[in-house]
Amino acid sequence: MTNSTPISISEMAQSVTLIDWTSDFLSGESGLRVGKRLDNLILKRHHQPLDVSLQGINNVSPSFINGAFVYLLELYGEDYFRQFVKIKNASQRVAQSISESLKGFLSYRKEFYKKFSTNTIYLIGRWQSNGSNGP
Amino acid sequence: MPSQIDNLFVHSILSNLETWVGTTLVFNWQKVVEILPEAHCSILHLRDLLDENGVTLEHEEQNGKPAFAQFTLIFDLNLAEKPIEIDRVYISPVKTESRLAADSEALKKFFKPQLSSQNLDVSAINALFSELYMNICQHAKAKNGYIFATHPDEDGNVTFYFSDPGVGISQNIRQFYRDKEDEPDEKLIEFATQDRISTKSQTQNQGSGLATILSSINEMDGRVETCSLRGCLISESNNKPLKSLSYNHKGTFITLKFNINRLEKLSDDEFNTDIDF
Repeated sequence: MTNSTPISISEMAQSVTLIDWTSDFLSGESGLRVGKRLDNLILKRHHQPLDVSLQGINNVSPSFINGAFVYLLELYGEDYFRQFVKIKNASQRVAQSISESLKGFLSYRKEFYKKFSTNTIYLIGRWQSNGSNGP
Repeated sequence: MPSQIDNLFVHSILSNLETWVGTTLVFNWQKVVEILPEAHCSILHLRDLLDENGVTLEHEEQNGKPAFAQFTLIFDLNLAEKPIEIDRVYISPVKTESRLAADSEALKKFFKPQLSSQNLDVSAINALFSELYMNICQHAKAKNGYIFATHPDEDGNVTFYFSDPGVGISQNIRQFYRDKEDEPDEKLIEFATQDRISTKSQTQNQGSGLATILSSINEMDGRVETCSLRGCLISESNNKPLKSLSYNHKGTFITLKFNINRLEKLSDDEFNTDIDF
């Protein structure tokens, strides 16, 4: 019988420093690239803490924040994000921008679902003669 | 006849900038003429206008008459009259989003002498710049656009011009929000400047760009003119009057005016804050 020691997944947080990944903290394209890389890390170590360090970053644009962090928030949901994704070592200004964007997104989504549940939504599609929903 | 070079004129020529050497810009005159509106009358009037402002036209002649189709307009930035204060300018063609970081660095260098002497923080300018830059890349549907920025004058006033000959804000809105097809351009510009209005469905486009710009400039007591097609929205001191234009802007032209003395003072960043939301 082989000795099958279970592989222990470290409980320690995985850390990434964004300045090692890119120098473009302005474009949405760059933000989305970062968001997708972070997504890959989360997928590899699901339900493990991920620390994202913003050390050395003086300025980020709203589009970058949307591409990188709002993308993850939308993908994994508020509960998962709060529990496992920690954004750290930010300057006060950058922290404020990110915090406002994340709050803004959550309140917009809440409002949207409220409207969605209180209004009649008509979904318009083209129906083919074979009954399938057209392109 | 217009007596000075106005915003529309700047827009028209910016859209057709071919190259520049020092303070001399070279435009395709034929294209400039094509997009100038009827309101600006004839080529001859424009020539008078150019003469008044110290702009030289270099052209070939055919049968003793100017061959307008072959004009190249040499627009000397050291104008005799300077209604736009372009005595030292930053000019940037906008083509792709991947150029944004490099172009933003160039802009920082352009403003550095003025800002660092007063210890002012450039990040607010950078944020405005990057949002409007990306708007051109993502929404204009034009090959390219242009950005002009002036050095601050003695009182610290600066002007940015963002110009693209693209589809126009209102047309973009009409294509995406089908219930707004019949609304006039200026009403659609007003709609587009509200928070969370976007014609894109990607996550990085949350539709806050124009709204953020307007509120940032308002906080600095500045002025934003957003003109597109036949409509214009002027945002100043929390008022947002709409204007219907008698001519067609053919694209979008955004002018930002603010005073750099209203920027925050630079402080040493300490990277010790965790994000809470």
